[in-house]
Amino acid sequence: MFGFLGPNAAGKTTTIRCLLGLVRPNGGTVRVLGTDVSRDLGRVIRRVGSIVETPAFFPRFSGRRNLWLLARTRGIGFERVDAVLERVGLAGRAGSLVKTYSFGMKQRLGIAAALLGDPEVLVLDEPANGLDPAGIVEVRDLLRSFGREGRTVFVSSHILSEVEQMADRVAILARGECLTTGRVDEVLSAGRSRGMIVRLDDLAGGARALAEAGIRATPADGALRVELPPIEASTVTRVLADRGLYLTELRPEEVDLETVFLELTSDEPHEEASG
Amino acid sequence: MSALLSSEFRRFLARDLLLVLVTAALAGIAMAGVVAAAKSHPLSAGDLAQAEQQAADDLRRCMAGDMFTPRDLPPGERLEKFCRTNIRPENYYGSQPLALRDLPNWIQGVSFILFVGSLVLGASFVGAEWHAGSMMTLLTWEPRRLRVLVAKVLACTVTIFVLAVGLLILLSLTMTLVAATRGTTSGLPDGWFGSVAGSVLRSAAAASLASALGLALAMIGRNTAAAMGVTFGYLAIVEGLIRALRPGWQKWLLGDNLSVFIMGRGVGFAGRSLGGAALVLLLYAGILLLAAGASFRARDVS
Repeated sequence: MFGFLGPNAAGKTTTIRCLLGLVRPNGGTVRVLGTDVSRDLGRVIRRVGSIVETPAFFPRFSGRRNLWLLARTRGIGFERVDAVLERVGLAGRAGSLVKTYSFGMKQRLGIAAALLGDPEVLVLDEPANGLDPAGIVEVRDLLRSFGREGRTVFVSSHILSEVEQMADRVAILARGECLTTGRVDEVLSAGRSRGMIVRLDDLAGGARALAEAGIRATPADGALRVELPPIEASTVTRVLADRGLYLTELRPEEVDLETVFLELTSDEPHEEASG
Repeated sequence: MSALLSSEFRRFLARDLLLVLVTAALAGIAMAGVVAAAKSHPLSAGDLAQAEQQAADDLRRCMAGDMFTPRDLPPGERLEKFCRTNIRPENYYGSQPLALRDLPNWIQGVSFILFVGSLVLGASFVGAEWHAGSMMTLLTWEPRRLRVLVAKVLACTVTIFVLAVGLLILLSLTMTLVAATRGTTSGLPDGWFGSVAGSVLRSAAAASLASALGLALAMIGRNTAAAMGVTFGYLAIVEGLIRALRPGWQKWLLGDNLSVFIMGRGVGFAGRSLGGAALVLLLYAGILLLAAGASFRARDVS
């Protein structure tokens, strides 16, 4: 699973439109499954399922009928329509008009449409956009299951915690440029840790000792958050040990994807952001 | 391509607007039959004999030159032929019964309504898809845009041609029934059936062409209302101005060529033969469809 991240107007949807041949790039080449999109997208499109922004369907047709019309375009059988509706949990409402669907149901119908052709690659633009928390969890579980089936899932999102939980690899985009890409753990490790978490029995004493040594420390969830980079861990242990205070835990403060995202996409220089 | 074509046929047939217009057309045919039956009064044998006698008397006077002078005749027309063409028993019927011989005229009259309905259907077929965003969804399934356009044009024009033929045959049968029971089926000229069949086929072809024009314009403007506005603005304003200011250009106007084509006159008022009018209409439709294809292929979909 590949998470495609970026703030609004970063160029995520435009990139996806380029991938699907809806928009022609001004320069460069877009390849999908090794095929140049500008020349031969028609050959590989059957191996790709997609949602671009909010999936559009005929509101006065039922969900099943909408999918059936799409399925006919490629000669896909009717039984596959029912199978994908079942897969996304819409079997019970398949006969209802799309105009009566909630936003979440329309999103799931979009995912069902993307799955119709049993694609190797799924390109999903903000599939959890506008969903309530339960809907987000449902979509996350669905996307994970697609990944487990061996499909490549390319998902753009601004819900970073979701992507962090789902994706194997991510790219972060801003102002039309890819700022970083790689495995999630690699991208996280590239983020600069801002401090350390220190746990000891006498939190107040520890905080005092560190303050006397000119090190800022604040209580956080039964521990102290020390504002020194992890590379200064020996300084912290020495200061506390000199006062007879012994650590039960010392670890770098965890950097999540949101932190890295904000650091990379901030207009401020990184040094100031981390300071 | 066949799967795409089949899908487009289903898409077109599933449109609500198509159902509404076909229902309205069926209701219109039924109503026309009822009104025609109510207004038509069959002639008695006495009425017919009287009308034939009057016509025979006037024909004799006409041939003798008592009714028209040579100046009244069209250039090159002989008096005998003119009299026989214009003095007929049906002109002397006291009340005008529904006459089956007029069927080609009714079909031609109805064909202008068909033309407008087909134009709306063609334009809304793609205009609604652009409006709803489903065109983008379709293009993520079939990115070869010219294939999509060709499939849509075929689905729309073929369906409308078949439907128009069906509706006009139904109209013809309805009027034949009314004429047989409440009017007259006498006096059918030679070649009448061919004239009816020709009118049906030409009217259906004109409807089919209208749908192609509407579809092409809506594809270029990506909007149904824009396509309708351009078409009616052109027909009502631009062609009206050209007729007034540049009468010599009239034979190139869409409306005039359409009239010639539907009326089936060998030489129409636009100075066109039937074949010439058909070629001009096909040329215009072809140009618009090529422009629609070029626009569809070149522009981004967002």
